Formats: sequence, C-alpha cells, structure tokens
Amino acid sequence: MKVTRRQFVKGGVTAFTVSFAAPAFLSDIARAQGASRRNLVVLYLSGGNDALSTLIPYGDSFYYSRRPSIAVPAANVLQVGTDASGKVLGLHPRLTGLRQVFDQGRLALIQRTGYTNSSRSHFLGTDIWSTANPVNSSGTGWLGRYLDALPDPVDPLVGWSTVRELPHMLEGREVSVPAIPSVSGYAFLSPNTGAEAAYSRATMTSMASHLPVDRPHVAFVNGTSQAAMATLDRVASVGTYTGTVTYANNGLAQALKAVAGAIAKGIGTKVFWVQLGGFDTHAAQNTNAANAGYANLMGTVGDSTASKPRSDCSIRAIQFRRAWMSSMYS
Amino acid sequence: MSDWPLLDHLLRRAGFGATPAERDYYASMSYNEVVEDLLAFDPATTDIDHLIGTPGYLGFTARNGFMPNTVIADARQRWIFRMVHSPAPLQEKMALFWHHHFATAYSKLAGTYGASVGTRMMAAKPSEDTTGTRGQIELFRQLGLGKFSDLLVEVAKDPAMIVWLDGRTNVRTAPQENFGRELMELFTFGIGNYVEADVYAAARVFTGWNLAQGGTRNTTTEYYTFSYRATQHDTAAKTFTFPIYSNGSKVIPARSGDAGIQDGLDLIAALAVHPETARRLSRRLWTWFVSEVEAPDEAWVERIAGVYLSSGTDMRTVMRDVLRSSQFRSSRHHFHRYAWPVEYVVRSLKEIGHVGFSANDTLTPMLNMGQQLFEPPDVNGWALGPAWFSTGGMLARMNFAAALATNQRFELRTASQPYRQSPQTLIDYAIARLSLPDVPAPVYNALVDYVRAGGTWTGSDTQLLTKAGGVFHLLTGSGEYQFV
Repeated sequence: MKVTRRQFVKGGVTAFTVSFAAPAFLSDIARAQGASRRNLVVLYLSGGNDALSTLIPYGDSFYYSRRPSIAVPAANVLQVGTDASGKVLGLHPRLTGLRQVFDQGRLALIQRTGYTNSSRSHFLGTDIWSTANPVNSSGTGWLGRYLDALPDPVDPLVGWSTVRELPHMLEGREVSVPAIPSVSGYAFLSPNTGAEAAYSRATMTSMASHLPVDRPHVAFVNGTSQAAMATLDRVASVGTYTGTVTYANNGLAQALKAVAGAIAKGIGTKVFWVQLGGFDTHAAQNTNAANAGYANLMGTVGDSTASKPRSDCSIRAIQFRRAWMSSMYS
Repeated sequence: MSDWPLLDHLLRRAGFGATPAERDYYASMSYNEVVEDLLAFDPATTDIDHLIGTPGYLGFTARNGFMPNTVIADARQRWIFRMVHSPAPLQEKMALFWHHHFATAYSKLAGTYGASVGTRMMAAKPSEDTTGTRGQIELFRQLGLGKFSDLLVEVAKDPAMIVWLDGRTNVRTAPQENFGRELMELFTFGIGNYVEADVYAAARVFTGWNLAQGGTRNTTTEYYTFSYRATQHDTAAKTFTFPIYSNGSKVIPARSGDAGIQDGLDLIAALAVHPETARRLSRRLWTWFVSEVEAPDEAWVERIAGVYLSSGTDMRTVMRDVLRSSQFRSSRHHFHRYAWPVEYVVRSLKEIGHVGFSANDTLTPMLNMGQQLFEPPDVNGWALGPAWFSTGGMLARMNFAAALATNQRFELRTASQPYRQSPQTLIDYAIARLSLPDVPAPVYNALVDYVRAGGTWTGSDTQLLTKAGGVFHLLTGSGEYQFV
C-alpha cells in the first residue's frame, strides 16, 4: 500500500485502513486548482512594511498632520489615481517599476487589509497575520490550510519556500512545503564522486522504496525520503534556467530567478514564497531620504518585482499590509 | 551488561548514543547500575568545557575568538560539544527536554537587548561570564533533575523568560497575561484545567516580577537580573477556580506590595503539585523517553504521576522510575522515537566519529533539518515526531551524513579493515557500530549491491576508503537511523 504523508500525519497508524474523503467544498477548491495553470508567488515584506509610505494618500491632510516628519510630500509621489472613496493615491517615488506594471493594467493595489484592534506585539501580530486568525493565532498558516485542502496525491513540490525557515503561513497539518533557499543546495551529496556517487544515489533511492507495513512510522520516513529523491531532478532542472533577463546578485532577485525558472520549466509547483527582510525600520525609516533605509527597500521591491523578472513571471497582484509595526515605533 | 540492544537503547534515550569507548565503560555494570550512573551526576563536577579545543575531541570554529557566553553561534557549538562528550549525558538530555518544555527563543531577547545580552540570557555560564549571568540553559542543566517546583520558581524569575513572555511589562495598572497563561497552559497542568478568569488572576499574581539592569547600557557590562518591584504589584486578593492551598482555599489573600512576591510562590506551589500537572508531565516523559509511536500507557502515566507527587516533584526520583520501568526497557519500544535533528546529529558524531570535525559544521545542517538550538519556533516548542520530516529536512539529514562520512572516511577505512572479508561483513560492522536494529532484507540487499557496484569486491584499502564511507553514509541516511 502506498503510504502518503497526509494519511500518516492525519490519522497515524489507523489511517492505513480508512480512505480519505474530502468534503464537497474542498473538492471545489481542488477543481479550481486543477483548472488553473496560474501560480501564486507571495512576496513577503518581513518586519512590517509601512503601507502608508508605500501607497500614499497624498491628498489627505490628516496623513500630513499625523506624520509631520515622515510623510511623503504630494509632489514626490507616483500618482495612480483614486480609491473607491475618491481619495487620491500615489506610490512611493522609488516604485517606478511597479508603476509601469500598474500602468499596463497588470497590478491591483489593495488597501486597508488587516483586522480591527491590531496587536502591537511583534510576535502575536506576526502570528495573526500568518494564520489570518485574530482569535486563535497558534494554528496552521493560511497557505498551509489551503494546501491541506488539496486532494491526494499532493505533489511534494506543490509549494516552495525560498527562505530557509519555513514561514508560519506555509505550515499545514498534512502537506509539508520544502524550504529550498538555493537550488544547488537541494541536491543529494555523496562521500564519493562520479560513478560511485551515482551508485550511492541509486542505493538510497532503493533503500527508501522499502515501506515496511509492520512499521508505518519507518514507512512514513522512507516515504519522505522517496519524495526527496524523486524531486531532486525537477529542482535541479531549475538550476539550468538562465532567464530572459539579467538578475541582480542579491537574495531577492536570485529567489525570483528560481521562481521564474520553476515556472518556465513547468515543474508543477503552485505556491512560491519569496521574502525581503528589513522592514522593521523603527526610527531609521527616513522615508524621504533618497538613499536611506526605506527608500532603498522600496527600490529593491520595485526594481526586482517589476523591471527585472517581468518578462519571466507576471506579477498578478501585490497586496500591501497595514502598518502595524512601523506605526508602533515611528 | 551483555544485553547490547538494551544498553544502546538506554544510552540513546537517556543520552545521545555512545562512542565505542563509552559502551565499554558501561559494559561491566548491571542495568540498574547504569541507570544510577546516569542519574547520579553532580552538575558541579561534570563540567568538560575546559576540553573544548583539545585534540581528539569535537572541534569548534572560532570567529573572533570563541565566546559562548555572548555569541549565540558559539553557545550552540558549546552545547553540541557537551552533548557529544559529557560524562553525564542525562544532564544534557534533561536540559534539552526543559528547553523544549519552557521553549524560549534567543531572537526575541536579542531583538530586545542586543545579541550579547540575548546570548547571555540564554546560555551564559555564570562562573565564566564577566557579568555572572546564569543563562536559561544553565538553569536547566543545574536543576534539570531537581524538584520541578523549584525549577518553576527559577523559570518564573529567569530573565530570559521575563523578556520572552513579557513579564517586564506586567504591572499593576496593566496586567500582562502571557506568562500567567503559559504557566498554566504549557508549563504545568494544561488546557481544560483553568478558565480565562484564572489567566487574568495569574497575570495579577506576577505583577512586579521584573528585571533590573546591571552594568552600563549598550556596553559589554550590560546585564539583567530578576527584580521584584513591590510598587508595581497588585495587592488585592486573587481568586482562582482551583485550590491554591492545602486547606482547599482558592483565594490568594490580599498582601502588601512588599510581601506580594509570595503570591507567585503560592500559585507555583499549587500548580506544581496539581494532579493534572503530574499526569501531563508524565505523558510528556512517555513521549520523550518511551515512545512516540504508541500513545501513553495510562497505567504507566498514573504510576509515574504518583511517584512525582509522592516524591515532592523530585525529577531524579521520577526519572529513576521511568528508566527502570518495564515499558521503557521493552524491546517493543526501541526505535520508537523520531530523532530530533540535534539527537540525530549528536548520535551520528558519537557513532561515526568527530575527530577533525567542527561543531560549527552541525549548525547550518541542523537549521536545514528544522532545528536551531536556542530558537524554538514558538512557546509551544518544536513540532515533533513526523513533523520533523519534510523532503528538505530529510535531504538535510542525508547530506549531513554524507559530509560526516566524507570527513571521517580515513578513520572509517582503518576501523573497517578487520571486516573487509566480504560486503556483508563490512555492512554488519557498520550496522553494529551505528546501533541499528535488524535491517530489513530489501535494504540490506541494496547495500550489498552498492558495495559490489563498480567491480569485484577484494576488500582492498582503496575499495574500503570508497565503500566504508559510502555504507556509513547510506545507513545513517536510512529510515531506520531516523529513530532512537
């Protein structure tokens, strides 16, 4: 019998005698998933981005009266029109790349995401944001829950975190998302080289294929090893991707190159996680200085998501979060 | 003792496995004598830190000197070194158990007070730290087998915990619930035994349990100690839904600010001896020492809980009963725990070898396996059991095994020379040295094929250099080896 991760984690030993039946509403999600060839790429601005410095209500006097030193002057913003209530909005001046995408009609900007009475605790706030659950924020992440709802068999490469420590958002109960911070690191090493290394790999694959029915816990671990061995080549194929544009030699650009490569090579991954840190800017935000912390962060975001990989993977939507961290300290 | 599988089982569970020399040391003792030897350590005399850097021991990597009291990567190296070499492995095993139970993460401390103070709070050894700080892990190493009630009091006063669960913002005018909640939910009797009103009352109990800064802020002399601030303490009575005192009273009486620290001591004393605390700890000990594959044996849980209560929460007495219990010894439960990354790494260092290997070279692999010492993901500790085993995590285990086998291949060749007669003798030697259970025939046959691959087996030194390392790598990366 085939031992799958979800059967094991879900029901332990007893899961081997019961079949998994998904509720109807989950099947709808599954159909929607199967019908779509689109991928979700999440770019997470870690540390709590100050949304009001990213998408600026530059016609709002309240914005300027409450932010006497860090407001972005109206003359500097990149105008993008008005929101539903008629307030004029503009992007941070360093987001010229995103502005181009917006002008092409390929970018949606969503304001005022979040929840009421947002927590001022970094930890609780991050947990709530990760789980999308302000009541009980210790459970699975919102993307993890989505992946848990996919029908069997779930591809072990259905998700891909480009950051080493799996974000809480991707933590599911049944589906395990691999952290692949570097394509070359997701490889099978051997004490020897050449033909000997190939023997080692073949032997490990063969050993992992043994699923002892009397020891389901060992079968589970071997199943995980099997999945690892079976996905090596797909991940490695991404390493041969050169791209149609030049990627900068920084972490975010290289992560986006891997994502573009995985999509271009069609390895089957549906959800990608990409992250840029440093948004916990506190008193060093210095919104308006051309080469200070925040402007550089905005420059990195705008340039890497828009002008660089634009021709490789289209950015469908970028969601800006409410500024619960920065506003706490600024 | 001649029952090698049982001795190996005991040393994997109460320690991190054994080197060939350690097995020899225990071989002349009876089972109960080994248990007593493991239990009897005196934290004052088991210190082996002075051996760090000595040839023949696990190495370390110094960046700007080796500063385990103020640089977290060095603190991690030091703890790995202790796990590999300590003559009191149960001391480190219990410290790891409490590190998970009272899961506190360095990153929040460092984010609050900087990297040096954060490392001190987690890991400083008081006798070697210029500020005399006792890091949280040293508390666990000192009191790990003492009375749980004492440990709880020290944890409540521990600067790392006070930062981690925000005790320093818990004041009369604005009670902060984090510590009071986790004290009941995670550290003692668990969910279902209290209500939200108890959480609020517990928060008020600990108002004023704060920190005092010593030294000069933002210099190398900066440190923090526990400080009870009488003026910040809520002096009114606190009512709980469970008994606090032996007469059945559920009310901690109103006390002056000066006397108010007694509130917390009373609540901790009550929680420590609550029967559900005894059962919850007992179940955790089952999972940590006996089996993760089978649910706790409830008769065992009741018995161990009884020992815990009758001994006045004495963990050494409790652990003696755990390790001597027939359930612990039963071969049924051998290899029934999913090895934590740190257990996997330390066991493989002890069983394969470590000469010329740096403790620093375990840190990134362990991170890839999903565990970083001093950095549990949250106050719940790590997600255990099957949750360790993602594809990336499994690959990281295999690759650590490859790196270690590569590093040790000359040693492995020499050690394997007496077993070079056939592929089978080589494999049997590796299986015994890695304290593995019987390897299933399909796995065994795959290994035989591996040793034969590439040419007729002659057992030459050249073949041994290639294949001994290869066999140790494959067995250490096998499913069987992921269990302790």
